[in-house]
Amino acid sequence: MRGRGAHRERGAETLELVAGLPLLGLVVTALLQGAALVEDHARAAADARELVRHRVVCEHRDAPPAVIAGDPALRSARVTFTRVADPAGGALVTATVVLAPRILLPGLPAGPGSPLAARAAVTMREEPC
Amino acid sequence: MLSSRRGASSLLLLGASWLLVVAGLGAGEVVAVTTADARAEQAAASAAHAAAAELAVDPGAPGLSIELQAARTACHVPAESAPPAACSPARDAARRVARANGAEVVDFLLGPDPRDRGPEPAPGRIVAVVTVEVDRALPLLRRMCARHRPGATLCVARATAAARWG
Repeated sequence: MRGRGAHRERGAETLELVAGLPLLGLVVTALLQGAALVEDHARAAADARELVRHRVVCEHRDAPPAVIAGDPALRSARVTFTRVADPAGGALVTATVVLAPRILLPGLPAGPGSPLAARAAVTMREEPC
Repeated sequence: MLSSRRGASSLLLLGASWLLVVAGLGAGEVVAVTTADARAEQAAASAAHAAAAELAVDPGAPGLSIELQAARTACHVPAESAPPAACSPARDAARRVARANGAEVVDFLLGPDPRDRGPEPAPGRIVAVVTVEVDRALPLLRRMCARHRPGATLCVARATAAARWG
């Protein structure tokens, strides 16, 4: 009788462990999702830096963005350039890159309009031609 | 016996959950630190480039280059109490661009390119060296940083970059 009770208890523990496995999977996926988002942000910052560096140089101003930064993700990204005249002379150029997030956890919003999208902006002064 | 085993496993589960929370917060801080470092480097590079671009259009740059070669000034702010007015356009351009990138210039310096040094000072290339600081905006240490700024190395990311005109 006592032996059967202990056996049943052990079975319940195994069931609890098996039930906990999806939770473990979810936690691991969430960690991977975090890492992917951080990498997206680093990539957006690098792309914005590269794009604005070319944009402020006279000879490279009209090159298409994806060719300049060499990142295929830029083809589906939202890239904007703004040029503001500096009151003290010259102009400031800002490149803004919004990359669509890589979604690993189901149900999270995707696309460049998502609140999880990687956003980076870099400003440089335009070089005189 | 069984109840004490259950209590132990609950404690273990609770401990593991706390460990996950602490690890998540720690990862957040690490991300904030590295992001601020990258931003500071970019802001420093942009500010130094702005100073060089300003020197390219500044008609007083050749004269300033002679002053720098003669070591009469280094346009070093804040180390020099009264730098010449010719330093201002490049310094202001660096400041504006640093601010546009969310940073503040904390050290600015101009110097001659060593390869242009001759027996007599003559117009030559100028090197701009700019150091900037960016607020790290650490989620957990925001209050402490607000109390200890400026200069707390944990709270601000610092970076230096150089650019050459000519």
